[in-house]
Amino acid sequence: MVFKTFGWNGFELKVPKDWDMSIDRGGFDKGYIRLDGLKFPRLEVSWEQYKEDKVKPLNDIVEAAKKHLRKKDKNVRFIGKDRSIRIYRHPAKRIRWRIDGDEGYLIIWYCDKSQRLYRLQIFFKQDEYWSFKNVITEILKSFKCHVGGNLYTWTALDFTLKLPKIFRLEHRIYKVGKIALLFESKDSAIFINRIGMANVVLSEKYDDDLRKLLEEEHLPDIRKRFKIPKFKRVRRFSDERHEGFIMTTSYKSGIFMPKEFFVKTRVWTCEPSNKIYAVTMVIRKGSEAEKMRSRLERLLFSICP
Amino acid sequence: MKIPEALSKLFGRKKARAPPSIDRDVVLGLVPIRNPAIEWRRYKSGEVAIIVTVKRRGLMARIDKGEKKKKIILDKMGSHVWNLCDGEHTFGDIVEDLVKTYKMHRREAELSLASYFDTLMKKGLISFIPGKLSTLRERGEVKQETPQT
Repeated sequence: MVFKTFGWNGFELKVPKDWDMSIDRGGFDKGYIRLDGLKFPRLEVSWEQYKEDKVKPLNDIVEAAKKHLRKKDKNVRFIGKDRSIRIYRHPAKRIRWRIDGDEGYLIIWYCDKSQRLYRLQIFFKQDEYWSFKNVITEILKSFKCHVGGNLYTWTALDFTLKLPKIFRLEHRIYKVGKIALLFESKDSAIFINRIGMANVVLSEKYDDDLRKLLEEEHLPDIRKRFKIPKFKRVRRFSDERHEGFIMTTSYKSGIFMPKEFFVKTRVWTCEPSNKIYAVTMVIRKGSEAEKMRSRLERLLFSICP
Repeated sequence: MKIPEALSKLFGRKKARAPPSIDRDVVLGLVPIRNPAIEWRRYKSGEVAIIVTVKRRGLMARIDKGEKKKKIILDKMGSHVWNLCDGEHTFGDIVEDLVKTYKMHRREAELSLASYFDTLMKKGLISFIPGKLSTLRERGEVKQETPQT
């Protein structure tokens, strides 16, 4: 089976290639995601930040989880004893439950590095247990609840990017043919838009004008949050597979102590994937701004496959 | 019957019945087919126009009792899918086609196609049959030829 790396809100794991995120709730401190296979839900991850001294013992949490499962469905059966395992070097508890023909593994552990309590659930059919076992092993083996280095991975459908750890996902839009993600840090923001079916959308809605698409699809979402004026400089670029524009401007925000922000937008069509990507960076001008700008450009302007 | 159950049956609220769930494989195996009574034409540009008869309502219906014809022009993708609703392509085949032709993500293709078919179904423009038309004809389950437009 082919696996892919999936990353979200500070954790990473390997999942089968055809599993994709179908539910995403919450944020960095507390959240929940569900990944679905082609036929039914396969994996749930929920996380919540706790200080180490505030976390209840694992056994108590597991008992509470069992109680919750019993309350949810009276037919639930727990198979075997609760197992003690290790996830990314952290002690964890694993329980296996069965409701009619459906089974699941529930794994709970506390990561002291990220100060988060994780709850991972993997679903499978009773009769597919043996064929599915290597998938469970791979997921548990690859789960990184605290990621080293300076970057976090973010995966939404076929779209993966790496961003510095200071950025938090603040807003997202998932529509058929459109994914928009807004990341913010203290002094900067990144807005990414991925629009599918580029050939149809461009020709039917925007007369093959990429700038028109930018004005109507990408910028209105950003202007709700930032005071981005008209772009002062526009430069066209193209290579073998990509064609688009790079636009820059700057603006000031605040009355008594105005802060100056640099804005750069790059919009391009990627022919091999038939997608349009639009990326806007808003960076506060300062001593570190240039370093941050070049770092983000390296990470973001090559996101298409 | 136990007392609490009987009481809840008497005084309890009726729970809304959840719609029956259909297996994904079954849905992917269904074959969409155009309503043979629907008039439609294909333009040179590839776009498809569907002519729908609309009954007049309200005051207009009293003045003019005749029916009004309305033209629905499908976009490029909609027309492409409409052409594939010939009774020979399953839902799954059309999803595959969209993934290949428009390089869509499979999940996106399935969702958009399901919602498009839902709209067409509500308007009575298409229907679903359990197998490909040619297979059903071979089995003798379909006797009449569908009129070609």
